[in-house]
Amino acid sequence: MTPPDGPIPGPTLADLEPRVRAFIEADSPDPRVFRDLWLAIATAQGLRSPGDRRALGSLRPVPEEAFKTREVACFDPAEAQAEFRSSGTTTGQPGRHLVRDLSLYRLSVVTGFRRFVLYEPRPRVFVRLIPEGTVRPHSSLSRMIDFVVAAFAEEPPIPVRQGNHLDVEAFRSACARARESRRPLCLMATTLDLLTLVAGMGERDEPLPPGSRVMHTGGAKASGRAVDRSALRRDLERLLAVSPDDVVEEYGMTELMSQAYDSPRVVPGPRRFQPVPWMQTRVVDPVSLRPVATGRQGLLLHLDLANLHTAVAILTGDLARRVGDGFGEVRRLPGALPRGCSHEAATRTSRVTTPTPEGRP
Amino acid sequence: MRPVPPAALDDASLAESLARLARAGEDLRWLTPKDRSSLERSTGLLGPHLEEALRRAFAPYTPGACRRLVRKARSPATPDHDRVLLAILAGPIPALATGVIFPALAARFAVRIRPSAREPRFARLILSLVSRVTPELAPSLGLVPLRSGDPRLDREVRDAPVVLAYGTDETLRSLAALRRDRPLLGGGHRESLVVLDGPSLASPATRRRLARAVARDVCVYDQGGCLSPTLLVLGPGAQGDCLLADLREALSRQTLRWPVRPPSLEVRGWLRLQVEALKDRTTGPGGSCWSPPGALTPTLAVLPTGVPPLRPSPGHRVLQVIRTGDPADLPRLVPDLADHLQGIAITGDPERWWRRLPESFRAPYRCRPGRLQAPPAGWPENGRPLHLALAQIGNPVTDTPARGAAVTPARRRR
Repeated sequence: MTPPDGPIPGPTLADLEPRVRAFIEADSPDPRVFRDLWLAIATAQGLRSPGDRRALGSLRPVPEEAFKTREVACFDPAEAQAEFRSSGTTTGQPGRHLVRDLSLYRLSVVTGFRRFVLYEPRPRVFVRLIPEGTVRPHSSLSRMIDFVVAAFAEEPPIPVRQGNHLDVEAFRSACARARESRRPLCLMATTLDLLTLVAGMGERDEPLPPGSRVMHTGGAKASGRAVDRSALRRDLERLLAVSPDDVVEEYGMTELMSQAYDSPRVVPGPRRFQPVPWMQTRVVDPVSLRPVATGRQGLLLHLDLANLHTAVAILTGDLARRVGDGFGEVRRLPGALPRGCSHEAATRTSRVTTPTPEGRP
Repeated sequence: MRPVPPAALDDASLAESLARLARAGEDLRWLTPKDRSSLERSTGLLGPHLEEALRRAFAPYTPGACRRLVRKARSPATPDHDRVLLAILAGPIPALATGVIFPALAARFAVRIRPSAREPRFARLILSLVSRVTPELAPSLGLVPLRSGDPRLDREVRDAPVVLAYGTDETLRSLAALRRDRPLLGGGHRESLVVLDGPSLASPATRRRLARAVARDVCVYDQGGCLSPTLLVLGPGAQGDCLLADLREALSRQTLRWPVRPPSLEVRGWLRLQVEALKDRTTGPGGSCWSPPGALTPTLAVLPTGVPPLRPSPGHRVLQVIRTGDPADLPRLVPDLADHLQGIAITGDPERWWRRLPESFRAPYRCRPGRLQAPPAGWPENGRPLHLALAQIGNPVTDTPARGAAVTPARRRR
């Protein structure tokens, strides 16, 4: 039999999708399978040459800038089920992440959140300071929190955020109800909203029942405000009786379908972000694109299997320090546009809501 | 003590003093090893690159050029107290300081220099050179060592008879607000480009020579000046494949000849993103993006037809190549360069291109490749030679700036 001309075609993205879903759902996925999968996806997406045995060496990661200048999609954009947008406040040109299959995003979000935030005792009551997806249809973060609430909340979240205001009194009554019912509460917010809430609470504390926790995201990338995370954790312990180990920070990007978490109860040792198992984050040297040694700084390069339909490898404008198997001290490159979920931060606290200008489209 | 204009010198003596200063400066022996090290730190240009930059700062001011500057800058009898120029410098290029000092002194203006915040050393060093070599000019020069945002600098800007400023468009706007209707010379952000036509690339020898010339223009000052070409336009009939091979080699060689200080992690990270963005942009037919193995720059990115280049230009020796048969394409491809072009190096018949270029793309300085970064004394920076602009200060009848020049109308003060 005569062999066909040219290289043997690898698996298509459609072939790979069931394997990606199975990998996400697995309890302890095999890292070797991760490698096979990301290489196969990168090849199918045209980000590396077929048959190349090198991994990172032959990779052509998609820079986050590409999401601003073209449609990054391995499918007909007309078939997109959602379009997430990063901030374009500065340039007027937002990055666009076309989502072919929201169910894959939901699977990634819910599985990751359960693993890193909803450790036992699992809270059933949720308070969100992050706007709903109906209000911010192009926000990947809003949609993420929608999925979390739909999957895990036993009752509708208590409305604390209204427009661009945080209603401190509504938050206090949510805390009081949690205390009375002795049911742990999970507060989800952007980092800047959390700072605003803490400032709005003043010295009057609202201790939450044991098992309560806080998940925040976005840092201060967008605002230029300095965020002292240790001080924030101390404030949360003082005001809400939430242990610093129960303050979980999330790292995510509009361009990614998966997240990383700094969750000390799940990832003991020095505080650091660790990605979900179906995403690997490399802190790479900007020149060689090779991983740096632990303790050194470099660019963040994400390999996200859930980005099956767009770009499995994304090079970001985030600098970070490698901390063992994770990363920390994330900051935007000078010259890279400020971005991030904190663009969505509320601007003030009040009892009565009054409209203020929006911070992000 | 406030500097005073060089009024006492006659034309011949003034020109002779300027030429003597230039000869001494070009010689480079006036710099101690310590001076060189500090200039390497502040400019980021190392060894032979720094020497090249320093030579280029003084080379245009030959005796003949100095005589011409002085002769042409004769102006109506403006009172001495109005002949003081406050020059706000920006960036790391030594030629910027000499490009102010020589024409201004030739126009018999005293010069008060606010050094570049990024590179404050060269202005101090040149003042000490003037004291040693041409003490007769020393009373006409002074420093204003104030930082941006200092209210005293704002006062200086408001009150100076004439201000010349370099910097971003935003800086220029804020200075214009302080100056109101008083003379403000200068321009904001500007870049340059190279245009090569088909016939000029026909012979391999000429092609290699052109590649070396373009590489010199790209590499000197690490693309940090307004005369640094950031775009190479392949014009009608230009088949660029052989040229690109020559250019890659020339850029590699020139990068080794003119080294720069290794960039910081932040700059390396930013450059990596720019290079990856260029790779992403050049994946179409006819596109390519090359960097030497193990390095981020120099980078030569050839954009597929119709794909606009990455803007703002990354700098740091990144050259983007666009192919177009029609100069009228430029406004569509790089609309932000309208009224922001400083120089065009061009081969073949420049007039053919010139006629088809929109007026806003007709850069004030036009030359052959390899000469972009070596403009002659009295070149029309920002649309008008500085010595002539200064000569016209106080004479509103003749004060008609060339198009694109950011010059506010001069005003008779009394």
